[in-house]
Amino acid sequence: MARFRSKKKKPFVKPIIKKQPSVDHITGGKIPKSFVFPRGKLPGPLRQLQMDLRKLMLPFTALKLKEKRRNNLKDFLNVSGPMGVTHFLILSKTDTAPYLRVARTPQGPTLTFKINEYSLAFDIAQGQLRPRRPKDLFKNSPLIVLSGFGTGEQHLKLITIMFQNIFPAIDVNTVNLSSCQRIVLLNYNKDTKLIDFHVSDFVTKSGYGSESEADDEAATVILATDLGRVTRASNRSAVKLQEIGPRITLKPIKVEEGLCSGGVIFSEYDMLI
Amino acid sequence: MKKKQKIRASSSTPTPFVELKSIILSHSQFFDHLVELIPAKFYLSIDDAESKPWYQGLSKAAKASLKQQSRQNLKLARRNRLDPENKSSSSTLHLLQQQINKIPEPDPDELNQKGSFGDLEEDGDGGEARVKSTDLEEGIGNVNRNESVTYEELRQKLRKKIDLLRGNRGEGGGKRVDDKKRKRGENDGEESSKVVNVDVNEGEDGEEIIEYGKVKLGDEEERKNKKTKKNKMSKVKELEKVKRLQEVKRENMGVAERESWKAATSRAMGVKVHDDARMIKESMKKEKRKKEKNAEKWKERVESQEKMKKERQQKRKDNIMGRIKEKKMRKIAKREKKLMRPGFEGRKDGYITTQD
Repeated sequence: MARFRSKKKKPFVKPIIKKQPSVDHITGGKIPKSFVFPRGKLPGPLRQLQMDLRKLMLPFTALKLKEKRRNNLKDFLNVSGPMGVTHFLILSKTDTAPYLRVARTPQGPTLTFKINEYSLAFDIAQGQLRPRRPKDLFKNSPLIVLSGFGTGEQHLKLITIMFQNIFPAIDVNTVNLSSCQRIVLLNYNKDTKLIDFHVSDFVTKSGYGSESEADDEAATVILATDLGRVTRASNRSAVKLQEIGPRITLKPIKVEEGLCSGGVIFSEYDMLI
Repeated sequence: MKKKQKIRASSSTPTPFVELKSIILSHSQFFDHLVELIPAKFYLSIDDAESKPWYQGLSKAAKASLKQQSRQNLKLARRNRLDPENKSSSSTLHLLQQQINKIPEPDPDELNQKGSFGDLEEDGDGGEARVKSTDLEEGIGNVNRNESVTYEELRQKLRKKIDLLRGNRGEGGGKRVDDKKRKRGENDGEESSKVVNVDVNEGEDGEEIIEYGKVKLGDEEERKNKKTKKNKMSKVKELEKVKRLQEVKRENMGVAERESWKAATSRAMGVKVHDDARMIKESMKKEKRKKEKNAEKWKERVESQEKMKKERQQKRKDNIMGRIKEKKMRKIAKREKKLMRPGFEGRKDGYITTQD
């Protein structure tokens, strides 16, 4: 019977799981990896925000990290050692507000932020006319730009350093331009002491000089390498940003010396003299 | 009927010849314009030897020189074609005129040689050429003037548009007046130049300082490699240092704060800071335990090695002795074999009966 033709027995092929390198072969330094996990029960939108944050940190994070309620911080620490995880992003919620803690693993400082407002990536995509989702958007880690952090305050400096080291370093000489696709923008507002957090995606248009496309000259760049079929090196191209990721407004509250422990070296609310 | 009368009435005052001329002029201008649109390559048949170089049967040097020449010709032609001041020299009309000016000499000869068809053709051409040569100049002049005027106008229009749009940009671009977006607009302006060179810092009272992610430069590695081996202090020394630091910290709050910030910053950067006396003590203990364990393992290894050695040597000795014995036994057996006669059992040990 044709229907019951014997199935060919395929040999068992073990699925090859790509191992994440722990030392960057280009820059030579250690690649920072992160865990994003919640502490305590989170409501629905916050769980989606956690997923968005995980996607943001790709590829150097555990996308499908499963954590149980009874896991302590110590358990995470124990696992992070052999796996080479350097940063923890911990989401939590109290009656007042949700909080985000960014900590460096072995015994690093912990920055606590209060989340004033947030928008999910899904909502942002819904609000756009043409939401872009190129396929290999999450294959490379994003670039980061911080603005307004230069006022010289200690905790701001620490925040910049933390965020700069969450993403791996870029070797300007050997980087492939097409691999820089996402960008994280952090903007500090001195008056309200809030940090705006945006994630955007590059849209390049090639072959446009400032003559033909009445654009500001600053918005066109000369590419150092070829980006694709049309965008060739040393041609002027217009670069635009389109927002893709979550939008969060953070307020820095606390800086602790240890991993969610240790002395408090900066606190927004009570200035102990 | 009325229309015809009207025309007749208007044409009564100028002579019919002038009217005809104006009509012909307008027609010829129209055709000139059309011809101008066609590139000279397609309209005119240029049969010089230059336009079709024959590469096949020539030597290498000749070929190279021909190719170079043709390339140069191409370049010159392109320059002439795109030269804004020199519009008239390479237009189709101009080339046509040049061609026609060359024709009149072979004309009378060919007329005699070719048949009627050829005659008609040549004649037609000649006729056309004559009319054309008078009007060509005008036509070209007209075309040039028109084009130059409109080109300038267009350029100015474009400039105005750009300025207008540039002016509008500062007002938030119409749709989006959001604070966030405007700030991002500023960021975009700085950030787009990042793709080529990374470190653009604008310090206006510290307001618009923009920082980027970590960028690897070449010199960092060399420095790091030099540092590591030399600066590694022994743990005891580290412990002492930490203890001293702690004492100072207890006394001086300012120093304590500064040290804690320094430690936090370097930890954030990935540098390991040995701050805690307890941790250092623990690591010292760990080191000691590790050392002991290693020493034990080493001893065990040496022992087992010795044992194996002895065993093997012993076995060897036994084997050698065994072999020697075997040899001897074989010899004795051989010797005794001769005396294994029937009725007798080997060597006589003595007499059976005692001697008396």
